[in-house]
Amino acid sequence: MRRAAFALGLLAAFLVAGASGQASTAPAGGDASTGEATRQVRVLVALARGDFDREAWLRGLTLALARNGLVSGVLRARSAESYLDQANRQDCALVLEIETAAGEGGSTRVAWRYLDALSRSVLAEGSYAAPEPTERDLSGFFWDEVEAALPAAVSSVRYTVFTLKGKPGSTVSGFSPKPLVIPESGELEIVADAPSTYRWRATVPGSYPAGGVFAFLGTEGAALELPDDGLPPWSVDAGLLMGQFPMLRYDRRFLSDRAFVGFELVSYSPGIFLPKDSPPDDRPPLFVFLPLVQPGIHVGARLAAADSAFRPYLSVGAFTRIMFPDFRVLAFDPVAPVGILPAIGIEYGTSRKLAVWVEVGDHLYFGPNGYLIAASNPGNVLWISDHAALEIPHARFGVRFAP
Amino acid sequence: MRNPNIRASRIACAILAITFAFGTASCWMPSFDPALSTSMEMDAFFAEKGVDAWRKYYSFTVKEEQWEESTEFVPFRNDLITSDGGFLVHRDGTGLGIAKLERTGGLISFSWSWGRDFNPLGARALVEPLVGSIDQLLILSDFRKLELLDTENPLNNKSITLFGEGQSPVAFGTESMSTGAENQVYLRILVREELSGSVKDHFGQFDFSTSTLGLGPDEFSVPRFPFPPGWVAYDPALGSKPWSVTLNLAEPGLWRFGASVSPPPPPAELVTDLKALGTGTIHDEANPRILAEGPFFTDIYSLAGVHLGWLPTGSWRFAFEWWDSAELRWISVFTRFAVVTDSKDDKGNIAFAQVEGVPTSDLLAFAAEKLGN
Repeated sequence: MRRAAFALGLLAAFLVAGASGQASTAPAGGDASTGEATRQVRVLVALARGDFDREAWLRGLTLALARNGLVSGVLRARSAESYLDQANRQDCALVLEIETAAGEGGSTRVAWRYLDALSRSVLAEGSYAAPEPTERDLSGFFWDEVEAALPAAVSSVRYTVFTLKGKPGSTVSGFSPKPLVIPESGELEIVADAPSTYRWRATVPGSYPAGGVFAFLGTEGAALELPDDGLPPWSVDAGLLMGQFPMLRYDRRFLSDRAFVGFELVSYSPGIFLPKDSPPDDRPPLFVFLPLVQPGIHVGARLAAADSAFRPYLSVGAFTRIMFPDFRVLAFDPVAPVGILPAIGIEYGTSRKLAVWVEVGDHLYFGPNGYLIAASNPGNVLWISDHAALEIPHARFGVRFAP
Repeated sequence: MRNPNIRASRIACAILAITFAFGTASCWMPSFDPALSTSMEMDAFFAEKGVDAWRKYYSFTVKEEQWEESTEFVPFRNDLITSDGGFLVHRDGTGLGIAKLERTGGLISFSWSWGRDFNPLGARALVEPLVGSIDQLLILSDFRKLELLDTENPLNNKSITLFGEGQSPVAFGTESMSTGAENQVYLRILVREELSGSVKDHFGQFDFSTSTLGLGPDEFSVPRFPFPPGWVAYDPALGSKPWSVTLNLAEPGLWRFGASVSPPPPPAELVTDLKALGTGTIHDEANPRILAEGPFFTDIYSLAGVHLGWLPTGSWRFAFEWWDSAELRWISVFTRFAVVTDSKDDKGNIAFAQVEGVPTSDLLAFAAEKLGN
């Protein structure tokens, strides 16, 4: 009879292990649940020292517990004294104490206790005697009684909840395998073991993404309020083209700050001019005044979330050029009246309001004669066609202010 | 609350980034030549009013860097029909370079070149092909010396010493005669002589047709002024020794010198301020008009100082005025030269030179329209 039970237990263990592929320990963070979802707990096993193959016993016990759907992870006590503290630190709601002693007739006597890690109260306990187990027994029926008491113990663990509060529609990950969405009420009740810690991240519509570590100690009324730091609807840039010519830019920001559309103005008057090989006695002036302004529009996309320190972005713009030689004529530059400007850049936020940015791109000019465009340039034109010319490189940098 | 160390680190990074970016400030310039862009309006004007016989276009390759800046194309001083070409003239404060460009059977060649690492007159150095000749050039770069270069035979080169110690040029200019032998061009020079605090001036005129210089004494009261010298124009309204001179004192101005009366010499009279120093003379019928050529615009004045209009010449440069004896009209000749510096190897860069001629009467009308605008 005992052999038959052992065989059945072993078979069941294989079936459960094969069906779920479940590991013996769960991820570091706890898993919370909402509503009527099945509770799972992490169990810390404290096996008293004795004259037996300790590793084989622990392996078998772990396997037996892990088969149970109520268990999300099994941890071993690192010391014989302070395992309750360890359980709290490592989010184990349940502690299983096992003590063994030699029984009559060469049998082994096993005494077990389930304790609530937080309250340290005993939830279930018992003892039984069994023949000296083999390694195969330890992986099977040997722990049937301990495992059978598990549901009652889990149900007796103190029932704890905390509340997520935030803007409706916010998506929060880290508390469950799938991201949670804050409902219209703005509150979501989370059933969780206490204590437990969670590394969470939230995407809040119209606000900066947020994240952090939440330690839930089971305190009644505990709540995690998601920050609602509104994303800036616009930003203003002040910068220099090639470190020489001033530019201003105004952007409207959309799609959780992932996209932008804006207006910019580059002025070639005044500009800094630092020639490489000027003779020491005939240095040209430091400032140049080209009678040209370049207004343009652009669209772009940022490739990182709004709270990232480094945010790469792509943009493409179209511009026109207006010249005003001697302030006597105000007209579109007839040589290269329009152009497009693709660019790739990166911004580095020193704070949410302030960032520095640098970008590189090129100017593709269009005009009636591409060679006239090239003739207007002292050597930076890379490609010429009948009606266009490509000027490379273009580097810009500056400071970005957002309210 | 942010970690102050992180905040300080970020600020330090920002400062580094800005410092790095400032370090990239360079001699980069955008694809914009305001003179070339301004000149495009003249292209439209030339297309409408230009004289076909004068419309020339030369495209060729240049390898020497000197032609990429401060270079002008000066066409042969003829009707450009029998002889097609001109001279590339590079002028700046460090030297003067000249190359002769000829087109024969559609092929462009450079048969002669000349250079000198001395040019105190800078951009205002005078380089004038002689009338009807494709071989001879008049040069005034060393202001004490007028030189005649012969591109075919160096033995024919001449030089005339204009001034001695204590003398300096006040103004010079070339001008086509308004009557008679219209295409005989004269060089006029005013020279200041400073002796014992007194100021005397001489004038002279070089007859391009005979290659002779007549330099006679005359006396005017000339204000002191800094270099460079201005432009002098013959003023028939003033009699036998007439000059209207543009000088650059505090600002460019048109000065008028009356006929010599000695003693004492009459004072020079400032007629009007100019937008730029004079650089040429054209004819409104028999009346000379002074061209004051700035970097983007050329303003036109009467010798009495009336502002008659302006032209968006930009990179178009006034070369000379030519008398069209068939149509009995003056033709104002302009040139434009540009280099496309797109080559990063030793194959050279593409250069193009253009010549346009337009009846001076149409040019003056266009300039007057701009004034009305």
